[in-house]
Amino acid sequence: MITAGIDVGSQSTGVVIQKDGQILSFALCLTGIDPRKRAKESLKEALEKASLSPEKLDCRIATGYSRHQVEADRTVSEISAQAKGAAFLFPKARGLIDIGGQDTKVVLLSSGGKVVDFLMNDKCAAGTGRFLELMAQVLEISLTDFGKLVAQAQREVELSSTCAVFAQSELVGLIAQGKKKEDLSRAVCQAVVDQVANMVERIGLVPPVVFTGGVAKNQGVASLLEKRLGFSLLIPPEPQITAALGASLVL
Amino acid sequence: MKVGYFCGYLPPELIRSAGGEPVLLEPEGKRVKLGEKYFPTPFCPFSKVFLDNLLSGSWEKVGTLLFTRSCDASRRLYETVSSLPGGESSFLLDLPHEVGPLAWNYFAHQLKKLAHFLLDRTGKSEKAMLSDLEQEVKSSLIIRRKLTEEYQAGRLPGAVFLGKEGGSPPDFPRVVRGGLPLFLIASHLWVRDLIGLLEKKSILVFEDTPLGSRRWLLRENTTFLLPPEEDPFLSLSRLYLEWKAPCPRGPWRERLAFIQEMTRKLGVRGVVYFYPKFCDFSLYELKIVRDELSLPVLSLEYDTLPNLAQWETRLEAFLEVLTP
Amino acid sequence: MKEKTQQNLVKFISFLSRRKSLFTLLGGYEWWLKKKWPSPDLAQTSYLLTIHSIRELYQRKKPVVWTSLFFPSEFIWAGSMVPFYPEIASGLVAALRWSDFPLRSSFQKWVSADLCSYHRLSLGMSLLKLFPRPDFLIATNTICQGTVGFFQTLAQLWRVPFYLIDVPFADFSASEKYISYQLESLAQNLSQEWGIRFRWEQVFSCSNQTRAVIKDIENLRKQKTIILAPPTKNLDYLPYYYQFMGTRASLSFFTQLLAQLSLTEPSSCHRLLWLHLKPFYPNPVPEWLEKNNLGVAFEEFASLYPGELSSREPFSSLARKILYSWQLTVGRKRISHVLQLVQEFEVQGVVQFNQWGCRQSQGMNFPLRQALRKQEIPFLELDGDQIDQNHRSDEQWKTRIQALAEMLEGNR
Ligand SMILES: Nc1ncnc2c1ncn2[C@@H]1O[C@H](COP(=O)(O)OP(=O)(O)O)[C@@H](O)[C@H]1O
Ligand code: SF4
Ligand code: SF4
Ligand code: SF4
Repeated sequence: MITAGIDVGSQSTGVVIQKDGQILSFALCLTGIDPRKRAKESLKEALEKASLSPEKLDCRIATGYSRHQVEADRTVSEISAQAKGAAFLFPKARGLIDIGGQDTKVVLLSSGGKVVDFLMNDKCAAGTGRFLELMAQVLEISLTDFGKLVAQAQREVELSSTCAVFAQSELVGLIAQGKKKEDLSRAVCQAVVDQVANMVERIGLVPPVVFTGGVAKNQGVASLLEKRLGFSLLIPPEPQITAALGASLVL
Repeated sequence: MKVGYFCGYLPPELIRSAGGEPVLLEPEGKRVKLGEKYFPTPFCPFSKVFLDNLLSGSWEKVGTLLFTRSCDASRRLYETVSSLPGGESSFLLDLPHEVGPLAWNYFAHQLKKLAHFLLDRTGKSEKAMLSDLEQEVKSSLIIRRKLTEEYQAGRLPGAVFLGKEGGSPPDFPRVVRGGLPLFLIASHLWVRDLIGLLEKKSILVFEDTPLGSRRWLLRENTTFLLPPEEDPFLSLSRLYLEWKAPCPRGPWRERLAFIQEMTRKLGVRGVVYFYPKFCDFSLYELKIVRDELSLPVLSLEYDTLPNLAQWETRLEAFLEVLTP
Repeated sequence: MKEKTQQNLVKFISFLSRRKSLFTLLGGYEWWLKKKWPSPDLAQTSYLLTIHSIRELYQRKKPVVWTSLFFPSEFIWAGSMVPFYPEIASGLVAALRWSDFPLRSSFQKWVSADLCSYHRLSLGMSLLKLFPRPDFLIATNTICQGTVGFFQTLAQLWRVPFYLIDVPFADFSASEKYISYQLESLAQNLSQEWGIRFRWEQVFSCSNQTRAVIKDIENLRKQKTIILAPPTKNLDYLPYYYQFMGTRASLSFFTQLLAQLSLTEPSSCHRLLWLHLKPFYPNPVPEWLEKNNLGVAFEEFASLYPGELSSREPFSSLARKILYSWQLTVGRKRISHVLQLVQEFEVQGVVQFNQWGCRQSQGMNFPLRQALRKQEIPFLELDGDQIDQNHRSDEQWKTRIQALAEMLEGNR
């Protein structure tokens, strides 16, 4: 059976085409303001990559923030989709951390890869990709710089606010005090890490744990998170398509 | 036996007479890492920082922990601590909200329960405890009256009341320098940091905090000489519920009267209200203080970390308004 | 609506609401409605009762007493007073989509947005003088200590006396005595200062009868195929569980509900236990629950004191009723109560709607989750605010609900 998983996230849209447990192709792009159109285009792109015509698809399963807005045969929540995807890539995984643009999810998995329990960030928490984007703007750096800068940080600086609005002004204040970009970058990543680690501890994840979502590409966050949790994380080669992959596998 | 506590309604007099050594717990503000998982985001930061200190071993030598039913957070804090390993040696003192003879009797009964809890652990005899307690209450009253006088006369500013040891009163009187007099109402966290900041700006700070003066001072209308009750537990109960300076948890009329009296006697020029985010009693009191006090009020809020830079900026702006 | 127009409208309404005689007119309307609906259905009963309450509360022929959810209304009815529960009324205001304005008014007067929104909204409605003016206030601090701060502030705003019934957390018998003494001295106080006389018999017997009907409803709901729909609807009936207990209104309401429930079609949805309350402003949570084949088998706030009220010992039996709320608020007791409900109602999942400003309920989530995990019962938290729409996050709720359904589907 050939299925397509379509993950329409707040930031990125991913499509995975799968046949009997084999990934045939995938596509990834920014969601932008028209999720419906973007999903269609990505599906087309993925089908072309797999040299398939749309009729060959047995089922299209949508997941992600805008899953109800796109053309699909059924929907599945991001939680189940991420879990499925993670368990497919790492069958031994017992936990999952997904940090996307809008939400953060922490999922406890059974030995069979089923969802046992999950938590999502509450509204005020800073532990999301959007927070990192806002702070990167203030610091005038790009998202991909975080890894390098964090590695060069020397002095301990801490953000006292976890609210994005206050953190932003606090950061401006710290810049004015002449604090270094490297140290501030680490403080920003650490703020996210602390929020996420609280959720991980609240739900009681034990390794092996998979780390997915766009923020898994942020090496600053990844390394600090590993340090804080005390174990290393499994990061898929393309962490932004795990949900789409999982969705393609739900049948 | 070291007995740790933080609430100002927990009598060190009782701990000592039951053979324990009172330790006033003052959590240090570090990044909350071990404590946060137990509580959600919108929750009392003091409880989080307290748990953090406890779990990271700041108070390893303190075997027994005492809590009160003062607010929702402190109840949950007790419940959490008592469910952790070693939790059996923690105790919740049921602290009534009401005033009047009913509440005094009820609280006396609860204090007796606490005494037995402590005696079971120290092995001291009840008789010895009772006679010691009577003595403790007597001398405590004498010291408190003296301290209240000195404080009202403006001779005990700054951090003099803040001490790590539970039992010992501050030294007095001190030589007092001048400065702009302000009244500081605060909770349990970062009081020292803030007093330091205020003094740096040459402010004469009179603090009203549960770590400091509020544990010692008596209310204005408490004109008595010796414990009037036969039962030392009842004396102790009345000392804390009726005579001691009240906390933001109320009763609010008495609390407001106390603040009004103190600010008037001290002749302060304004109030700094330094409060934890998500602390319901502080949040309500802040409104009442703003509505009912005819003094300028600066409110400074914090969560689980101090933010000295931000407080300083706001303080400077406040001072500019006060001293044009 | 523009801010200015809104303000003028509020001024006008609050002016009207202080004209007592105006509300006498409602008497005629009430009479007419009763003629029109000789045997009213549930919705009509509710409507009639609302009109009647508005008349009683604003006409002020009897003392109006503001009180908190776990102070037994029987005490107030027995003294021929009229109870007003600001927490319940806040739900109503939110349901009418009118919470923003009073919330903003309270914020402008230094009521922090981090406080419980039931309280914030009531303070706003008090500042605007839209809620009925109280003669005095009576509250318990059993469910949360924040109630004390709230009522103290109300007392300051309305300049009326506040009587607190302090609920301890010690051993049962000492607590019972302490509360019963307080109730007794309150009753004495009220008869001296307000000339209030208490007649317990009728109110207590009505309350006991109602309790028996509620018990029958509970037993019915324990059957695996019985679901009260739409999900969380029962929480709209809160006034009957609390405010009108001890009156005919509650009795006839629950009698009708029982009759209606015994006729419902059998359902095969997943059964949930609902903790705490729910968002009262119009929101799609019930719809999503239904769409995902999830039903609410029982609500924590519908569990009432199982004992009788006795006019031979009015104060101790009321004290015991108050103390029953320990099941909702003392950590260990609440957890074992929840586990018991899970068993009795054969639920497969537990949902709690986390109220932003509520410390007491959320402060227990960690041990609650652990206890439920041991029984392999998923615990879903929905974060938000039950009154303040600014904290809503529909998309997250949707995802979480769907994920819970998928988990339960997988466990089937
Ligand atoms: N190359 C990258 N390096 C670092 N961070 C990245 C990178 N790409 C995306 N991100 C982060 O990932 C977030 C988006 O995550 P994503 O999983 O795509 O979100 P969603 O699932 O909501 O669409 C961004 O907010 C950003 O912080
Ligand atoms: S603020 Fe007062 S009542 Fe509350 S814990 Fe501190 S000392 Fe106790
Ligand atoms: S009084 Fe306030 S700061 Fe103190 S424990 Fe309670 S909520 Fe926390
Ligand atoms: S929601 Fe929580 S804080 Fe608000 S009144 Fe109810 S118990 Fe108290």
